[in-house]
Amino acid sequence: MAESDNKSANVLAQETAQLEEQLQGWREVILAGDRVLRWEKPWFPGALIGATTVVFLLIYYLDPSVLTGLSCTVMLLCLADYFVPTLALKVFGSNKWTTEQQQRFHEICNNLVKSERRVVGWWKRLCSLKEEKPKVYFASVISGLLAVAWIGQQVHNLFLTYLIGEFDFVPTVTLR
Amino acid sequence: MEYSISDHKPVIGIFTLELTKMQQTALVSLRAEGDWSADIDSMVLYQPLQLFPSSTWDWIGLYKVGFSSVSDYITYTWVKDDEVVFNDEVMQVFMSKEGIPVRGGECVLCYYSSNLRCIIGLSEPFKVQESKVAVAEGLFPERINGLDKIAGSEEF
Repeated sequence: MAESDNKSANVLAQETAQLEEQLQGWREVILAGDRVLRWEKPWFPGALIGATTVVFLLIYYLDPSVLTGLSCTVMLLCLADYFVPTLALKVFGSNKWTTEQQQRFHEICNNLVKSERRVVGWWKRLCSLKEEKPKVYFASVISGLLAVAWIGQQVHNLFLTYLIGEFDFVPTVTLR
Repeated sequence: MEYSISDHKPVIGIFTLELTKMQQTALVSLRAEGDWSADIDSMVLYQPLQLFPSSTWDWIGLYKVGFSSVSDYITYTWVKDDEVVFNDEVMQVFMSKEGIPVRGGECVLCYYSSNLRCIIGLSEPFKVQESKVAVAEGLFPERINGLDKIAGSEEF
């Protein structure tokens, strides 16, 4: 039985360890982001809302085409992926990496792995619904897409994205 | 089972109800692995005893002993989401610590099959331990001399 524990603990722990390794360069940034998302200081929510508002106002002002906007976003992500690890080392390098921080980082990676399993699971369930209950699948997918299409027509899409972005933070905090 | 009903006593009618099981025998054997508590993710071991139509919509639910309906679960986990195959026969599924009751108690696990629309496996009753973290934080009311008192709230 200890063997079975080790095996399953290994698979989950393996995935978590892999993710930890991949995100090694970003660990301080992730921890800082986690502190902000958990509203550790009272001014964090204000700063978060302010920053999101500035970003969306910028996008609204620049009004890029879809292709340009998409390419620029991906480009920014690539640049961040390249520069953040080296910059983080310079900025946070002097600070010691404590066991508490390592524990918190491990917990965050564990949660990410579990969330990824949830998302993949729901996707598989949706696909299997097509085979098992085709009428339910058809009805729910079509009505869901119709609802989204209608909302998309009624509300300015950028504003909708902004609202979703803002209220994304609320469940993150209330669930803790 | 007998049930007596009447709209004009003393006239009564006696009805006998017999409920037949949807499944006569268990198709899956379930076991809770190790010590369960709300402090750690816990493990469920299950083994199909016969071939049955499994689906990604199957779930394993944690119930209190003496539960009265399928939807009366404390928490549940999707079987295929959190599965780790140990070998060809025995499968392990992990149950997240978030859903496990902090107070503990006698619980039982059930495997619900979505294709057969019924519970096809039941584990033995087992004890879920009290959460040590919650006890340390003083979240439980203590019983002293039969009176409830919130731990740590009274200072002498």
